Amino acid sequence: MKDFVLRFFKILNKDKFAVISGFILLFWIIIAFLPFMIPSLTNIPLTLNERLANPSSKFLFGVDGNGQSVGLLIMNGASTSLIVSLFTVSMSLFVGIPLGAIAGFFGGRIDIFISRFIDILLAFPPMVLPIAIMAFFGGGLINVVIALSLTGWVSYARVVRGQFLSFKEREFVVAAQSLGASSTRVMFKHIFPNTISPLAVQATFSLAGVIIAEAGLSFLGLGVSQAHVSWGGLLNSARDYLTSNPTLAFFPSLALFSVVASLNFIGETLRLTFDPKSIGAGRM
Amino acid sequence: MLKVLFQRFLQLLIVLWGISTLIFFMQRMIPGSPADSVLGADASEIDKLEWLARYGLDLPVWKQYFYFIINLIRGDLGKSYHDFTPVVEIILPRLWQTIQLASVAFIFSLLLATAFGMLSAAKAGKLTDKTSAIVSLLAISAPSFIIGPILMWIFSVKLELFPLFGNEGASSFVLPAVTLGASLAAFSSRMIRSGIVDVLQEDYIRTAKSKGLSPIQILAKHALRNAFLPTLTILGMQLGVLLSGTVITEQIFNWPGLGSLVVEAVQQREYNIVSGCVIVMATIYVFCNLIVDILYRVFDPRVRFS
Repeated sequence: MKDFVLRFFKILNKDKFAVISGFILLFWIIIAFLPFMIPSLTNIPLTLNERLANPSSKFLFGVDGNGQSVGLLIMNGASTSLIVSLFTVSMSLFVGIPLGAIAGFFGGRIDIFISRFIDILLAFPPMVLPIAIMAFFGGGLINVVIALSLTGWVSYARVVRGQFLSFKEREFVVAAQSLGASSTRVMFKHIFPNTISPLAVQATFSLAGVIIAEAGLSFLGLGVSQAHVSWGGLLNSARDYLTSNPTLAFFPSLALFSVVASLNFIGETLRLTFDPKSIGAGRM
Repeated sequence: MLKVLFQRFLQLLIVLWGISTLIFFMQRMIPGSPADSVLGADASEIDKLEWLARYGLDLPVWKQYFYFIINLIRGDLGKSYHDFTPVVEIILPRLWQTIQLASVAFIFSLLLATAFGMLSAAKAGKLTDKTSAIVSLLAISAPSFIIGPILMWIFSVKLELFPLFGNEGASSFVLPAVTLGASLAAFSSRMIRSGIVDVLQEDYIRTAKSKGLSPIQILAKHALRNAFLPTLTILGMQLGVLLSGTVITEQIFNWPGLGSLVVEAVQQREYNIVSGCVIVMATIYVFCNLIVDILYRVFDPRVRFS
């Protein structure tokens, strides 16, 4: 692991994009945490007489169609993105790792069962199952996390399953087994550490993916409920003012784009760290 | 080959059964009675019961499921909650709109991806390649609901070149197709690039070089064909994504396709239409993947005989 950390920083040293991305991400994490620290920030006042005001010294990013400060809306949207992406990725890891490990390690019927279930989930085009779930069960923060986790765990399960399949035949695993190590010990002590690096890459890319997906759901009106601000929701309401107030769409777009691009650049650097042979653009 | 085909088809049927079952039970788990949401909570009990009976929703769930599967096999996706129109009749014209847009977007993305992929493969490791890697990573990071409005603002609002909404003939295709195609191309161009770079390191390319073929001849005659195979999977998947209706892009441009039908159906609580659309989308997607699988076997004898 120490090697990886060293390699990561070595690549980071040459890769200016990843460094800049790191700073951008740090900036957004701080922004996203502010509303939790200062609860008054979540209370965005309605200034109806300033409705649709352009960016000025009073409202740096302008005022939207409801008379709310776009800057504050974006800040609260950052919190929503942070919560949804962290919870979704954690839930997906929590479900995907054990299921993938069991399928890969034990094989046989349980593998067929889990793999077939994965096949069914993968048979839905991306975003279609979350849309269906949100359509049936209604909006809300928890529903978004559930809908996105329900499809999100699959990619982790596949990665872990593949790693377990290839590692369970390796000498060091067979040696541990012949020394009397139990299945759980072999799985957690010997094989699992080898899955961490591909999982870290996958998780970084899927943080970006989840942020896009949450915004996409909210853009369709199928995301978090009115109680939470979402960048996707802001972009959706900005559509009505595209001809008169294009900045309403511009700032949330910039926020979303900067976060997602940063995550993708960092994911790419992580991928190069763990797998120097692969060169290319990030996966979705 | 025939045996494999048969096996894959059987697998496909199982997956389709799984999809429809999942959707069926999800729809039954919606809180509250559908009669309440259609007729309103204060409608009389008799009206509600009558309505439920009309849609067979008064039967026990296992019976509903049985009829659902039987109807599905007969190509019947149920009826609209509001006017009893068969869902299939609502979906088909929308699907046709989606197919048109998807085809244009796919061709655009393929051309863009091949051009950029070849260019950056030819200049692998040089500035052109690195720039295109960064551009494609940036393009992947910009979802359609960012690219779409930007294009709309520049080309429809400011330059007034294309219509803002809907399908009003050929010029309406440009912006949605570019929005869809750009991010797909960002992804597949990198795939084509790494495919070509891998192939260029093969021995037979060195042979071709030493025969005195020009780089363009090598690329066109020897490299591209072999580099195409790994890209095939991703292209098939992308076609599947496009054909199954890209809900968000259709919503941005008010494109009257399958994707915007889903959103409309959700707003009107037409859950039979939502389910029908989702099943149709997944079926198309699965079929696209099956076709890729078959093509793979046709093009690559190694897969065919293993």
